[in-house]
Amino acid sequence: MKQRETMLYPTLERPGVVEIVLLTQLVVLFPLFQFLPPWVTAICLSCIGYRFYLKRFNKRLPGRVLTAVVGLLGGILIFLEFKTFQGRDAGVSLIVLMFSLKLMEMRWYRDAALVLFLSFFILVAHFLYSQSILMTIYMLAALAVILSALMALNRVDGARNLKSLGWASGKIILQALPIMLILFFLFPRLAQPLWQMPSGSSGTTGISDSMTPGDIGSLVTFTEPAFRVKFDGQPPPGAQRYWRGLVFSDFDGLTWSRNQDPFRPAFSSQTDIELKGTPVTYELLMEPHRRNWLYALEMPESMDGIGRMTTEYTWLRRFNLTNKLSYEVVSYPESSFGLVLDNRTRQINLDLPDDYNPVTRDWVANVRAQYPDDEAFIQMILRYINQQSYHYTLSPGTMAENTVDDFWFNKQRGFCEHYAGAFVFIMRAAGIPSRVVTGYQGGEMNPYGDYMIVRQSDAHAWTEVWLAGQGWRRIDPTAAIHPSRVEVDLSQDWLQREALFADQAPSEWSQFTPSMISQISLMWDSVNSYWQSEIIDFGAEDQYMLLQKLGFDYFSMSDLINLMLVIVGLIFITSTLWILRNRISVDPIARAYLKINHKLAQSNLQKHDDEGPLEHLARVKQSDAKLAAKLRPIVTMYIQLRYQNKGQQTVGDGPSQSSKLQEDFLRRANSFSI
Amino acid sequence: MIKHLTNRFDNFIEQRLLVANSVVTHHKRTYILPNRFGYLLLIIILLMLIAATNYQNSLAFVLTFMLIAIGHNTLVMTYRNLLNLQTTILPTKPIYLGQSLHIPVKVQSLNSRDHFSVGIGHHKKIQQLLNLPSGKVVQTEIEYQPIKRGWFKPERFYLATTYPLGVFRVWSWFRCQHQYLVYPKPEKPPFDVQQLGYLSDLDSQDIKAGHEDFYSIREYQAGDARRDIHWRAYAKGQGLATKQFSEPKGQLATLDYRMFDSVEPYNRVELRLSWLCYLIREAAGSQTPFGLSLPGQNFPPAQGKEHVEHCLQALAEFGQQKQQANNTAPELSPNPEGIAK
Repeated sequence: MKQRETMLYPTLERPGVVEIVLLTQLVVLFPLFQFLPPWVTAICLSCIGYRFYLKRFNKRLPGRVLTAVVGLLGGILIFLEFKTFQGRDAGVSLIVLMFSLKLMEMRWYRDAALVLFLSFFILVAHFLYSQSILMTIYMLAALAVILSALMALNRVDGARNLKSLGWASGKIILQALPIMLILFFLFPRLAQPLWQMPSGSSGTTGISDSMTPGDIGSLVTFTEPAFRVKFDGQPPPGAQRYWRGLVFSDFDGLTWSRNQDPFRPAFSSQTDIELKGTPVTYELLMEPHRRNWLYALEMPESMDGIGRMTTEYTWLRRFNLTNKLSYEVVSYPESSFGLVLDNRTRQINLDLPDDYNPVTRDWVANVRAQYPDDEAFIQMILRYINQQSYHYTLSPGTMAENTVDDFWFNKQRGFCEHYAGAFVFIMRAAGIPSRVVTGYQGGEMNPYGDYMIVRQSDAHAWTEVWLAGQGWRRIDPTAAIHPSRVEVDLSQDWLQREALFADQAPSEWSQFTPSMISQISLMWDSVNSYWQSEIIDFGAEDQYMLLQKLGFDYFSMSDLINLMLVIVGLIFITSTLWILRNRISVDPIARAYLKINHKLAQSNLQKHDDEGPLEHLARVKQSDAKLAAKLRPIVTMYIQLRYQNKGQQTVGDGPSQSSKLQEDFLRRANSFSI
Repeated sequence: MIKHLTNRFDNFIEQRLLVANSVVTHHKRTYILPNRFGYLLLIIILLMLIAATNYQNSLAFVLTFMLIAIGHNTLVMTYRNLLNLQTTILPTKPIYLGQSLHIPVKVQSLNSRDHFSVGIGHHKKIQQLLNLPSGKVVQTEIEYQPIKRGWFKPERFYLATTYPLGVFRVWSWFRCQHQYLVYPKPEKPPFDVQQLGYLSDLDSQDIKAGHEDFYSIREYQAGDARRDIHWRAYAKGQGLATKQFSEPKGQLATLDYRMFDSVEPYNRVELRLSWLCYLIREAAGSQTPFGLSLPGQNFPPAQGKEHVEHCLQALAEFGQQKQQANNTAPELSPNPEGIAK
């Protein structure tokens, strides 16, 4: 493209310009490298390095054809890697690749400017991966680097004065904050996205809607929060912290899943719940888990308006949760529910596939013969877990085809899913209706924020058995494992579970005090929680609430737009007035002379309006000869500058003399004192 | 249509244009528009806004609004980068047509702010980018290519900046009162000037000088032709002396506009002026006295820098309306009537 006539664009040859653009590139891309395929990272880094090398040794840039070929190949590789160009990862990889290749043809001002302006867009991509405080701070720093590079690009002396560039960009960011905040809170937010983005690999975390215990050789736990809970009063004891989420009634021999039976009674009446015990009131702040179920302690009074209750006493929302959700719940932990079991539900919760786990079936038949009473049978199985060598571990290895047989008789090692699955299998084989429940168990109080954090690592599976007269009763088979067979890492979790056997709580474990590190991490979490709820999750609802707090009740979208336009307009007018405000800038010579007069006024010797400078000097001399001696050279120069200027300027080399004189005059005048 | 609008805009600018030799940039005559990178930034901001809305990503909103705010503030900053700059246009020596005219310009910041990358040039083209630290006078030159002899009125001066981010272009135009003299382009006549007769005296001078039949010697005076210096006496250590000839050197040669009538019957003014210009330069170079005769104007034979300049100026002005060469020095009075604001 031909450079347009109107502007002289500075070249990239100025000191440090190419270097600072490359540095900006590196800073902007750095956090993305961990999410991109390694070969994309490698191409990026080599582009930056190679461009630096070319600049350093004044080599020619590679031809366009080569760059285009590499770009095309890269695009094909990305398609092969992701099988699509849609979605976050593929899109970001593609942008990053093209962005790096652009460096190979960065020859002129406009190329560098394009790279820098695109950097702003790349910064947004980071927030699709992480919205943490640290990331935000990093992004602000990166923004400052981009701004510095832009200024260096536009400056005659390039990046020579890094300090002044740094200050200037810091100032730009600080000055931008007020407008940014106003827009942040007032810019109309939509409750739903404009169009559904392909979710891509923006994975879901936490509990999924099925469970296949035998498949998972080893479980990795994540400590990121699943939700936070603020209790109104004392939090319930650890043994009661069972956050019920989903119920799995269907078992196909390998996988437990939610019952989808269309003939099941559609509605489970509220009368089926008998609320008992001291109510626990709390507010639950869910992280967006991109699923539609909710968690609550047993048994919530009612969560109408937030979700609807299923026949399994779980709560579902209409849409998947993509934003933070906070809801208030009153739970009655000692309630009984499902006192009446209809035949259909009984059948569902007794159903087992025929061909699986024959060994266990035989074994159950034998045991059941000895313990015909349901309650006694359950106790027997729990004690069996407690006394036989059952281990609690996160890495049990995968199970053979008959997963329950393999687990129960061979491996005898597993985590909650194995125990819950096997336990329900055994119960059903013995004719006791039972099912798997998943959710979270436990939670850690944060003393700095006065709330409880329930983490992904608290995910748990337990069971419910139906007993006549009691309804559904919660039984956590993992809690029955003998403490000596619990992995040390898991002991803390294990301790919080319902104690099934009084003798099994070793005292040294209960005296666990949080270490320094965990204290800091708790503090950090409280900051994060604030960040999460106030900034990241600020959405349409919060905006509405904020406006209500400000006194704008029935606020429609158009009102909001108007309000924003008015405020932005005011800002614009203010800044315009500020630019236009009439700053009388007298030229420096006159200003310096006026300043001297101000100083002289202290001794009442200022120049009168009807006096010329020389007359004035004479008058000063009369009252203070010493002062006049100091004043004389200044006045002489002033007169020269003011009244003898013309003669000098007609000659070609006059100006430099007069400007030298002017500098001289200013220096003397400014240092003048009485 | 567009051309029509452009013309109207130009007329509008022309009316508002300030004519002064020293001008302080002022908002009344300072214009601002986004340049193409400004539009690029706008597109990027819109894309970011769409992405932020679609992903419901608060921090993406933060970044987008940050950029909007920065964009808005840049408007102010870019504007401010051009305000309160004093530009003083200075006179300079005449040039010959075909040479480029370098007009000296002084620029300085009148406030305590450092101004960066201020471009200076004429019409719409920047020739130089200057950093203007507060309180420092920066001197530079603006180059013009006059296409006509005579008094050259420089096209409007152009002061522009896109600093800091290069997304807005702020600019200001003004015209100076100075006019710059452009002599005709000297061109060697394609024929032997002696043939014309008029120049015989002038040319025979060189031959005559060989005779050395001078009539007296007087003390050297500044301005005497080198060739007349009595070098022999000088070599003997008698000081500088000038030979005086018995009669004024030859017949005083007069360069006459009409002397080309026989070789150039078409009366092509510019051509004749170029030839005259060449001859004057040659005569001046050889320190030969000469006269100039133009229709309606006569310069009796003389010598010296001033005479040469007068003659060249007469050539430059020939046929043009006598224009007031307003060569007053820039006003620097503390108060502002003179300083264009």
